[in-house]
Amino acid sequence: MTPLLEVRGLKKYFPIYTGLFRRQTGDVRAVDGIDFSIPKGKVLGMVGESGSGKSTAARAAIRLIEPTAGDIHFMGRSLLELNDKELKVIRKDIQMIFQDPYASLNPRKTILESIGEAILYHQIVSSKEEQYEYVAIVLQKVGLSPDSMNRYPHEFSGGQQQRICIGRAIALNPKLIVCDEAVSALDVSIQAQILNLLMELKETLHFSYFFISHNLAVIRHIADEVVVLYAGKVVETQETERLFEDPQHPYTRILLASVPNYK
Amino acid sequence: MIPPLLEVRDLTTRFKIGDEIWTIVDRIGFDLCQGKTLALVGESGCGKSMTALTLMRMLPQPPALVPTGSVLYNNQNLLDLSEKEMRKIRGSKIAMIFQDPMSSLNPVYTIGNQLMEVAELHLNLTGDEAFQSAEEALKAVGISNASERLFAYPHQLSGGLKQRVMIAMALMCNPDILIADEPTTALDVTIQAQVLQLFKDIQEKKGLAILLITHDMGVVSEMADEVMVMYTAQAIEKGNVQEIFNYPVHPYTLGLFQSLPSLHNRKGPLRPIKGQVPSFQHIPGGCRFHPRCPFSMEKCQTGLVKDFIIHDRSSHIAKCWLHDGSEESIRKLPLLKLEESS
Repeated sequence: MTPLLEVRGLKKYFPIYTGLFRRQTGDVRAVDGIDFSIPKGKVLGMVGESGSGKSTAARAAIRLIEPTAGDIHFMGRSLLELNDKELKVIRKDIQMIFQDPYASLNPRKTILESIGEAILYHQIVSSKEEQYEYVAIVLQKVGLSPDSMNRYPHEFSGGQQQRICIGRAIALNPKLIVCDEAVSALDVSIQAQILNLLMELKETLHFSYFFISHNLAVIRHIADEVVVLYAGKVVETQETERLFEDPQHPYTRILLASVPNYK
Repeated sequence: MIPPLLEVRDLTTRFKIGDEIWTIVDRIGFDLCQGKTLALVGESGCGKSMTALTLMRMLPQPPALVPTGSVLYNNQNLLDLSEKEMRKIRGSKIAMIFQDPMSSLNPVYTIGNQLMEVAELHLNLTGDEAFQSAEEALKAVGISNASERLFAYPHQLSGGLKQRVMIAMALMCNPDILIADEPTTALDVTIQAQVLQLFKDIQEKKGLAILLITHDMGVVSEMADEVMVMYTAQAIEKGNVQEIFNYPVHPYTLGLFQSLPSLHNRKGPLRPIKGQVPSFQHIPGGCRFHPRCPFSMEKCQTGLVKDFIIHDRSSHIAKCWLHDGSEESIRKLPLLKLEESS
């Protein structure tokens, strides 16, 4: 079976300009030739320290930023060969959840507008009434009351805001959801609620996650397979259980040994 | 027994905002002892940092009202001292480290400049002497080529190095007590491990008492001797680290542990605490945790909850009616034990 997302040799270099004429004198190799694939219905975790290129890799892999080089296949189609119009259509199948929920919601839009905008655009619903009903169902799925539809983001707590972001992502019935540190900003009790919600939604709605985190315990809990990133390169790709039981690469070992832990 | 360095009793801080008064630290008490670490844990907004800032007398008044209770250090109540006297203690006898090293260092001065300022203010050193003490301070926290680093600006250092500089600065005057407010939260795990090790080494060498504020249970288990768990401005459980980690007796503490994904095995779904932390406008009466508590009883809903000692002669204290020894509680306790073991 072909994987949902297959990435080969992905590179993203950022140019460095110096001097009076801003000539390019080098580049920052944020992501330097990485391979990974996400099978349908599975969770791929990506770990690494800050600056290792996790977020850049995720964004380049779904063409939110243009990769410098590489080969990306999503559901059998080459993402890099799509034009803007085709890309917009395929965006429906790839959604993203970010670290800071408050920063990723428009403060001047109500929850109805935030979640409802994309479903109107992608013609999942055709009228305001349908949109209203659809958003009510989505809110229930993420554990919020439909009454909250006409409220603004600042009226919600951090955990609830993250639920809204998750709602916005699942509203389009995507195939793949990219979670970039989606639970890192939350307190542990709320983090547990959100992790449970993500797992539940995955079981009922059958999508795949690309889950980026620096928190190894979270990755162990949610991922089926883990990619360890260091300085823009993959140092180890392994099934979750085996990675945590028997890390092969010295860097993975150091990383795992550094986590303060209790038995 | 050695008397504690710092005795905090019934410390209460209130904020007056508009016409309303909020209690943000509610009758907190603890001891800091030489060479020991007390960890203050809890979720955001529970009053951990406010407790630390109150005892350092660093809260602006207004909005804060004059704190009540007592903070005894060297037989004097820090809350009664004048600002001038407090300034002699703050930074030299009781030092503090904050979460974000970037925003606690001044970006327009070199590291050396900022370290030498401490030496001039608190140690009365000038010129070469100040420079030397700054260099020694950097060496003490494991920064190699210290004499060159003194000329670096904060933005030229990595996060871990900056936090080391902050630690160096805090330790320059040989304080008795170090208050560390989320000192490693902004750091990567590998760097965090180094910084925690540094704390341990320094504590061993100098016999510091450390008040560690954190929300990371992993860090607590690695560093702390004693643990105090806070919830909505109150201390709800207190004990030594083995007691808290092996036999948490307050349902909130237990809930915190069950919310944590484990690094060792993959249990089924996590078991989060239901609901969310109430805001200060909506703090429930009775036990503040009762609306979220799976063991809630009728007596939990009204009145003040007393502190109960868990086993005789132990230091383990919990603010929970489950441990009052009444029949109803005794019937419910096995359920708590069951939760604990699962």
